[in-house]
Amino acid sequence: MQTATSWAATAQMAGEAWVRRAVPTHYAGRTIDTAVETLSETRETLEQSPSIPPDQRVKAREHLQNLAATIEEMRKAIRSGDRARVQEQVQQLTAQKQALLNFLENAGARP
Amino acid sequence: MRKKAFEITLGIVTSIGGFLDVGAIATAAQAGAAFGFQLVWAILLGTICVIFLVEMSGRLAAVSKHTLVDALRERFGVNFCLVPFTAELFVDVLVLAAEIGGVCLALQLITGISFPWWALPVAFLLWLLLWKGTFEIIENGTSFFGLITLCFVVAAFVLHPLWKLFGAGVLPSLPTHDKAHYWFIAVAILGALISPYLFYFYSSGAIEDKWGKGHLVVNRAIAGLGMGFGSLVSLGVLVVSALVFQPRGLQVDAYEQAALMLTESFGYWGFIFFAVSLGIACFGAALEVSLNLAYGTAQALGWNWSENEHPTQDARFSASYTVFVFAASLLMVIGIDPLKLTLFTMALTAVILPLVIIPFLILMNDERYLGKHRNGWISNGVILFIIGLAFVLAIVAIPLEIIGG
Repeated sequence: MQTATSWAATAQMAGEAWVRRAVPTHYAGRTIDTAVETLSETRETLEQSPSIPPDQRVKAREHLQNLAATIEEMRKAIRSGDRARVQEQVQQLTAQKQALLNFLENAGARP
Repeated sequence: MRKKAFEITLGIVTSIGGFLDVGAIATAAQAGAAFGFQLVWAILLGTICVIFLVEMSGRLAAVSKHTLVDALRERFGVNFCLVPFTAELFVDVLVLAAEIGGVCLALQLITGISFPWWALPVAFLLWLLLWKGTFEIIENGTSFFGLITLCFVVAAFVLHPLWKLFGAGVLPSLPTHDKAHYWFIAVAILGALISPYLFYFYSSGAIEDKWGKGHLVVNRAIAGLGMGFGSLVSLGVLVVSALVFQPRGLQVDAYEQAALMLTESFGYWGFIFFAVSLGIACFGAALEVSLNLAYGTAQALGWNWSENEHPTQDARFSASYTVFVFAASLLMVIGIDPLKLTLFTMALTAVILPLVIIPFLILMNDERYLGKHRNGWISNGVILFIIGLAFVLAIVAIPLEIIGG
């Protein structure tokens, strides 16, 4: 999960930097692609991990799905050059990442 | 006097510009992102070690007119020399591949074209510079351009770190979380800084520059001040990473992530500064590692060698770097992750350190080579400490890589 939160933070930071025109579009796009892939891999790992209680697994899956959906939207917005929409997704991602961190803290796992 | 001052200044400037390489960037960025200022001590310890080792290899060359490999071969015989040399050769090829990977990633960041496509063009450019260039061009040219890496130090000041927290990191402390990862990063930082290629290369360079006993002061100044100030650049990377990435919970698992570290301070230029710094630092280091591989091979096998000679004068030496450069670039062509390769190689460097350093210690106490300039108790004490440290690192590095890497 540490990798997932780290890549969510990366997508958030790359999105913010792209909105400020501090990074080129090809870089932002590639970084977001990697973030999507990593979140997908984390979800697969989560499904195969027997040590996580079922209720926590369901909630963790939900958090990861939310993050993945927002990052996917961010990817589309970057491709279409829509900075305002990326800004919205960045804000949404910030809230979702915080929700995941709160969940992990309550579950006793280090984010 | 003026000439000596110029030599010292030049040496210090080139040491600063040439200090950073792919390993130093990767390990410092990971350390800052994961543990804030807590691993500052590892950079300082590694710097002290490398200052002593570089000074010793320069002293050996200046006094005995032998490079380190030459002296090892002569003192211990070819068969014994082959053990540390083969280990060093293997690790250096991996380091070279990682440095080429760093240049390719810098080009990927700027152009958007995937890094494996850059591997062969970068290898060709490296080879061309080695083929056409002289030692002076290679040593000084890339290091002057490497001064751009000082942007990390500037960014560290721009971000206003809490110096009290930074100061607390000077003393080693136990981590509160991810213990295995903490020690793995500490090992990798030490492996990145105490790179045997540095002091092997330095002794060959001293012979190329025709150093004599008159250069002992120059040698001491370059080793102490040059490496000391050079480590500020590594500390700059760690500080920026700690201030930008750690509060966001961003771990550096890929160079793409590290590329964001200067955008907070310098905006778009920060992105460019990072890519250019990465590219130049790695290109400079790749030139040095390629030359070191060729120097080592030629010296171990008793061939002619000098970067200042025309390639036809030392054909086997030139053939060596040609083979090494293209062989290492193939690891990038097949798309091996440069960051993973870098961290693995840095840990492996820690594993081979005792093999390299123990014969070096014996040599530095041999009156036949160094006369009255042989090691005193301080140098011996430091080198014994390094051997102890390297031995512990060798035992823990690989398991830690599996657990924490």
